[in-house]
Amino acid sequence: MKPRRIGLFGYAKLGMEVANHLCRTGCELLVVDRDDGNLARAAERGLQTLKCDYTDDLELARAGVGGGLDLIFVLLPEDAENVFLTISARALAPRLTIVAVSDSPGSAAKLLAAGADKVIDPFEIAARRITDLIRKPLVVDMLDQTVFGQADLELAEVEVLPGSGLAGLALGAVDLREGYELVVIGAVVDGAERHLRFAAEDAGYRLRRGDVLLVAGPSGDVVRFRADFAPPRTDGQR
Amino acid sequence: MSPTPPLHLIVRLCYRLDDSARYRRCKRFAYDLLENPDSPLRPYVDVTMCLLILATVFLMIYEVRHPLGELARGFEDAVIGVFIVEYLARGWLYSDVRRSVIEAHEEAEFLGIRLQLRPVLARVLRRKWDYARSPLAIIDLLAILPSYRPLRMLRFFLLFRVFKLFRYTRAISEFAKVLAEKRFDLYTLAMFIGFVLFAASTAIYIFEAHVETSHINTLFDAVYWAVITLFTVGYGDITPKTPEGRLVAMLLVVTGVAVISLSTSIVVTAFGEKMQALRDRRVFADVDKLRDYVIVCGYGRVGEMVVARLAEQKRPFVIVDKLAPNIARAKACGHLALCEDATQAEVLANLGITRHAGSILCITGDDITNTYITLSARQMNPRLSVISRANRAETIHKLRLAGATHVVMPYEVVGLMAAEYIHQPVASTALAGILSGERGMSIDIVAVPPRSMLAGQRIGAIALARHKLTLLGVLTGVDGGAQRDVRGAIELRASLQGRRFCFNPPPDFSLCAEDLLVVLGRSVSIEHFRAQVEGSALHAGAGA
Repeated sequence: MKPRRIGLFGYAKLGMEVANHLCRTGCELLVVDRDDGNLARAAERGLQTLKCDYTDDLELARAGVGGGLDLIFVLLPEDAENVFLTISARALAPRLTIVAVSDSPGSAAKLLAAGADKVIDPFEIAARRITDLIRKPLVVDMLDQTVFGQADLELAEVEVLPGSGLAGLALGAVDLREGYELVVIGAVVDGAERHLRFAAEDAGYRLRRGDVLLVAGPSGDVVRFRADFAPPRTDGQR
Repeated sequence: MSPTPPLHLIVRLCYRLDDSARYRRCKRFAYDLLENPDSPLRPYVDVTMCLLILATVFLMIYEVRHPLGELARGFEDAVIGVFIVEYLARGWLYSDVRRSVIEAHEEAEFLGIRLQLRPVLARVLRRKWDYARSPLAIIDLLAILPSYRPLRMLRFFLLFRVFKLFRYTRAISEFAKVLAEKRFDLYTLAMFIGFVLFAASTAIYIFEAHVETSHINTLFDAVYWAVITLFTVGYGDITPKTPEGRLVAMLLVVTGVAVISLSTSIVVTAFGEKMQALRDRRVFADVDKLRDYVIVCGYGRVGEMVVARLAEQKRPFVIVDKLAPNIARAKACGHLALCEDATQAEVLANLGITRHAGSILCITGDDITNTYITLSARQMNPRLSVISRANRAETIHKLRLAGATHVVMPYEVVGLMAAEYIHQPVASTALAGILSGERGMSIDIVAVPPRSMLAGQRIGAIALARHKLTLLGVLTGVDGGAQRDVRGAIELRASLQGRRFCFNPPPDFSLCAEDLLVVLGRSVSIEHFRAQVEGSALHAGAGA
């Protein structure tokens, strides 16, 4: 289920960077901020903006939390503000997807407890990249230039739908099918904790309905693979 | 013109020695043993020498009341022998005689004059005299001389052996260095004390030498009294009897308190000023022992996480940060840390950036600082791996220009992940998990060494699944890649040295030496597989 309308709370350094990347995805983007200067900058870039005091539930509802927005990014500069906004949004809209950014080591757990679906820690990611660059620069370079770069290579998810032909197949058997330039990485098992099983380790695991298969490869092959394994009836409804 | 016959022989001998690798090795060994502060042997030699010195001093004290046995005498003679050898060896190391002779010879050749024995000898002896004159050498000599029987009355000087300990403990020599920096203040104080003592003892002598009841009979009594009073000891065995004498005593006691407090404050401030430098020097010494370490500039949010991961990987590192609280935090975790400004070239040089450092991380929160450190680090060592952090997008280009090997931008990564997340929440989370090494899974590279079990193999024939590994692709070797017909290979930028990445190669793809396999799997499986591949190459090498 792809989000249509995305709310972006906080248009400072980080918000700008995220907006840059989201612009290209073709989603409808709404920038929400308390600061006029930030909003003016967003408007300059042609983004839809809304001034809103996010400590007020009424104003949040007016921005579309619990209504028009499918997903919000919580990118405020203060951790306390982030947690508060996450809690308010979760209370207003139980089904909303909330992605929050943490700014200090302890806050990730708090954000998750407050109801965020995903927490991104920019400093942790940067630190990981830096240590990887020291330890295995070749791998980082290769990934940057392939998966994250311009090259036509991506890690894609394919949902196992009832009647698609994937259900009941062993993980190790999936890559035996001819015709796709794809590598099966593993599958995320349907369930509360979204456990990831790797094809290399659990080759015997049989896919079930609701699992998500992870494959890597050129986008053309991914699209073809998806189409071939989509049950004809349910397609288009989602 | 050829020199006179005996000199001719000496010059030839010198040239022979200069050529001899064995002689140089000998001298190098002696240097490592006695002088080289970085030599691994030094600590053992130092401790042994200290123990020998303490043993002889103990024997000396014991000898005062008890006669020494045959064994103890033999031991003392042996230790004296060691001291003599050490004294001579240090003299030998102090300068190169053969160099002086060769230099003199070459100068004479150049000028076309006959080489004379006297100037050459003078040149050599002058250098050795410099050694003999140095304070530590004098102490060494004084520690040896009294053992010679005719000089027995100089036994007192045997105590100089204790001073020999100076050589072997760095702490004491640093203490002396600190005091030496305050030379001017201490001289002034000494002059003042000398003046006061002179005035007071003369005065008391004049006032009291002729008084019947007074204990001051000689000038020496007067000086003794003045010293005991000035330094506020005041035994009371000599006391002034006349009112004039008492006046002198009062003034002297007041001056004494001033002198004591003044000298204390001089020493305390000297150490206060030098403490930081002393601590820094210790850090530099520790860093000097490391090899292929990481210099982490900036211990903020990113720095802290990087350091935690480096510590986990057991990779040596040293932290530099301008802010004292950051350094205090790093030290609390037991890390090697230095409170200095990394933009100063001197600090980087002291951290061995031109010697054994493997990489430097410029990850402060300030782009200007990062760029500056990047630039100076690159200038000092062109081969260093420089990884820099850009906080603003514009800086990336500047950092690359400044010479950064890699640039990391925390906020950009978040943008990428955010965009990825809204498309494929499950896949992006899984990818992040793999990249962060969650549950031990990682993507890594296994090289194909020449003559190993992989070289020349077809992809289909390698049972990677048996090793619980997933093959993502192959990075083709530098030279072999161009000729091979690789379907769908992705061209990579120059940073990968012209390699090409073949994603998911077909089963009939055959591997060449120097190819790199990119595999996904548990770190243990990857390690095991790599060890097997490398082992097979060794076996093949031994069999051939």
